Amino acid sequence: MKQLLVTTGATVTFIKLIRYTLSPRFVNELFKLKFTDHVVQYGKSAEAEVLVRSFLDKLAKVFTSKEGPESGSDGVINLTIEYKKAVLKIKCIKFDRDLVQKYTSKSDLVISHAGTGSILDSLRMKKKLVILVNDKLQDNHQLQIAKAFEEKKVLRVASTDFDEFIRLVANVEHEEFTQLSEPRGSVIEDILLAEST
Amino acid sequence: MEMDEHTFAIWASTILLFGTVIALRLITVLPGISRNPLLLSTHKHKAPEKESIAKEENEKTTKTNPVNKQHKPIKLLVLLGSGGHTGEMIRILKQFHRLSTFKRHYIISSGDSTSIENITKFEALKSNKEKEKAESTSYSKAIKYTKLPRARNIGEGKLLATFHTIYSFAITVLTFCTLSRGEYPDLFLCNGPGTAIPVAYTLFAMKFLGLCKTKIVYVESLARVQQLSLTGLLILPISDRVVVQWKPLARRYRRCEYYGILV
Repeated sequence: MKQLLVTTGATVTFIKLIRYTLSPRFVNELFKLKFTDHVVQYGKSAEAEVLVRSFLDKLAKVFTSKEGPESGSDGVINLTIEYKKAVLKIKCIKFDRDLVQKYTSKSDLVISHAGTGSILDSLRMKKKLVILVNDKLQDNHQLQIAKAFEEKKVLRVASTDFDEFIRLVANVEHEEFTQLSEPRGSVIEDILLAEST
Repeated sequence: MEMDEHTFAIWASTILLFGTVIALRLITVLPGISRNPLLLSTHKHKAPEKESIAKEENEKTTKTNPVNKQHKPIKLLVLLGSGGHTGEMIRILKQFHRLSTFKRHYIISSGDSTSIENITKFEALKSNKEKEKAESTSYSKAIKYTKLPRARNIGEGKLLATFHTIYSFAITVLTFCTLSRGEYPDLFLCNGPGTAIPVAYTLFAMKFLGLCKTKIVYVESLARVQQLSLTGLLILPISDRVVVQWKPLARRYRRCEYYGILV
């Protein structure tokens, strides 16, 4: 099993990330990279669900699929496709409270938006992480935080150009990542205890 | 553009702060303040009804535990903002080795059900672990939750945001003014949401008036790399400690401490 996880955040869906990761060209690349599972967490917006469905329909036509897309409860859509005897299981979910335990922990690669929560979830699970920054967001904090992490070599920031995005995902396999050092949260406890005396 | 908003917010807050201080001066000068008698002020719990006081008093005398006698519990007020802020705060609290030495009181923004869910889940897990360790000395039973209106909604216009801030400020001032003396927290820990401002400024004003000794500890969000958030800028002058999570921030602003990533 080799799993890719795509996370777009719980509330505001990052449409470009869905477009990129569910496009036939990208999925073709996943076959080349021998991925067997592709999980896309697409968020709670209705717009995203419609988009995901249309992409899955397209993928079912481009590749071979016996059953086509199957919808489960709570926005879960499954699609199994075949290509040159290889099988790829695509699972799209709105959001899962236990995303980290159920999916992140079992993934070999995570592609995510630049939300701090999502970044930390992957890095703390010691996963290889590629970030696509949402250039439509007003503030540039997301780019700043992604770049700051990239300087530490704990993740890679993808270009918003589709070709370069695909190239990066293909190359990331052979790249060495540094592990983020352990969190220093207990410092706050020490500060609190020092201040209380 | 951003500078304009900052200046505007700083001015608005300064005016509000002075307004609060003057209002509090007036209130404290009036004889009405003595409604918090000494007897109540030594009491550590909120005392809304006489029945519950008696009940708690009983519990205290019957269930005295040695640690309780030796150390006074440290009253810690923790502010939980929305989504990301709560997430970071819980990540920090998870790393505490002696969480049970603190008597926790959480402030949650109204309508933020996810934060309530997450913090109660965290506390439940914590108390389970403590039971396993047979540490009955914790103050888990005394955990308090208070809801306050949001100071600013994301993407809100200036005018509406100012109105909401004033409203939130007023409610916060009221909430904290009506506390009895013994109820004031020893420490206030917060990390970024706008709601932190009214709470911090109220506590600061109370401290200024000699009504409490609350120390303010502010942790800047991990999302801030180059610039402090508006909340950070406003809280900087009145907080006792400010901890940031990226080096450039510590270099840029005086008094900011950096120890690496905390979450």
